[in-house]
Amino acid sequence: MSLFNRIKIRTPESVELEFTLAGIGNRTIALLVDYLVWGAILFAVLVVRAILQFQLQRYLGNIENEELWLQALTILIVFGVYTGYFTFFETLWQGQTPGKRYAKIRVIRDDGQPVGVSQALLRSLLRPFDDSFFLGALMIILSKREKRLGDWAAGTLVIQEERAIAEATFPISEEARSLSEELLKTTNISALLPDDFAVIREFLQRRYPMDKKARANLSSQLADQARRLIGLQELQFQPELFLEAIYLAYQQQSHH
Amino acid sequence: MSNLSPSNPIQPLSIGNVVSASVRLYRSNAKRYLILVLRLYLWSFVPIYGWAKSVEIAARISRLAYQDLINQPESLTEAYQKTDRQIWNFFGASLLVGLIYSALLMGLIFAYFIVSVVILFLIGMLTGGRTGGSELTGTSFLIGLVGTLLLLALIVIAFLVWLRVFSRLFIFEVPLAIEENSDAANTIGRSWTLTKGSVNRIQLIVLVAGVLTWVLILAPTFLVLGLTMSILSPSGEEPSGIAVLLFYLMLFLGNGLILPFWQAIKAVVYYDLRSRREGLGLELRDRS
Repeated sequence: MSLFNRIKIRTPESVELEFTLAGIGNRTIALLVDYLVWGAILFAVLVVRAILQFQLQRYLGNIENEELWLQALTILIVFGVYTGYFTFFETLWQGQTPGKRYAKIRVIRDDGQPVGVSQALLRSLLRPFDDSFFLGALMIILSKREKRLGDWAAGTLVIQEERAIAEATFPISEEARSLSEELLKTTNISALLPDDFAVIREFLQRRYPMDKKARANLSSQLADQARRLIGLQELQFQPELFLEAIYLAYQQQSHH
Repeated sequence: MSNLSPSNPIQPLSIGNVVSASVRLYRSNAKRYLILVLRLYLWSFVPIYGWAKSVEIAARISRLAYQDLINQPESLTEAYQKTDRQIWNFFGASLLVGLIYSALLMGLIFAYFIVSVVILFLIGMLTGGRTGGSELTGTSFLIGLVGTLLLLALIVIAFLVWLRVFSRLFIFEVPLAIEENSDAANTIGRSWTLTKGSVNRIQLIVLVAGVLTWVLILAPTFLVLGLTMSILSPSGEEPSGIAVLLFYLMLFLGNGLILPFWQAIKAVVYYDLRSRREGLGLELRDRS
């Protein structure tokens, strides 16, 4: 089974794009963060309102039905901050809110284009319905395209941001540099495929938090597989050193 | 090959994706998992053997989920043959985990006792039989305050220790269900080594999964309960026996529905930790 919900969409220019849907986990995280930020903003706004109210009462004296007016105002403010928060950020940040940024997800239109004000507004107006009885969460879990009511109405999807592969940051020993020169001359580095290179790179990048024993096992296993691929008779080097050298040699070889 | 990240298939999973993947696993295997939950519930009424069986069945759900993740799905029978022979090891492992938590509790009680005795002793020393004197009551008040703060700190520390241990033992039954040549003590050790350095991640995963659990159980439970309550016991009256019975039934049902989700979470966490700590899936393909 695939871990991710991948979908294909067709843009208006008839280009087919593939995306990974955000998934309920990321959307829950985004919502939790957003409600924290939103709560903080609402708190600040209500404090300002309280201060203003105090000032107004001093200047205006008593108005009829003062309490009712103030209550109405409060409800309006809460509603405004609630819808405004999501609409503002989703429009300004092209489908992202602070929470969505944190969870690395983004709202797009069904045809792959960025969302505009109208979509963002529709989504946030329907949010209270999605939140009541957690209807939205159930709809995201049960529907194939993970759409809540707001997504259906606005014609939007929530996807994961594709991350570019980070630049390699692991240190490489001096010994490996000289060994790589040697490997380039004496062995058939070009027998390695890009997939093999990616695996070796991944190992070198991720080896430090690994369990000591597992890391030793894995490195000697990978080194042995790599040795056979490039046609080396036997391995007289320390496995990780050898893998570093192969990594360098492959890079140099592919530059030519 | 494993399929860990969409852009790069051999990278570890993010917290959100661990949770989403578990939901997806559950969704596409709901029938199989729920059959197992039914059996687990029935066995849990049988003392000792049935309890051991319950632990084993829960772990079997994790095994099925894991096999799905590594693209080697198993049938219910295949999984049964692998986990059933370990049944007493599952029982032993649960007992051991129970012992660990009891030991923690004993430690807390002991520390609490020591701190209280020391404080009482100090107060006694200072007041030393004499009574009255406003200065003395002032100092003993101060000691009392410091003592209360110390006890509060003790409780906070105890909670943090418990949370840490809980995270380290979170997947204690999963290695036993999946790995060959594992036993009761061994599987706990595996959980301990695998989770090293991932305590915070596990706690966040549990938090997000916990929020979803509440959402999924609470929403339907309250809906059904609210409706039936209003029908069965009209306003003001005490809740009728049927309503109370229904409440427990709903709880039982909700718990059963959520169990496979948590077993799937454990399977995905195990899979992800093995990829982080042991480079699971990293291999050069054999082209010869």
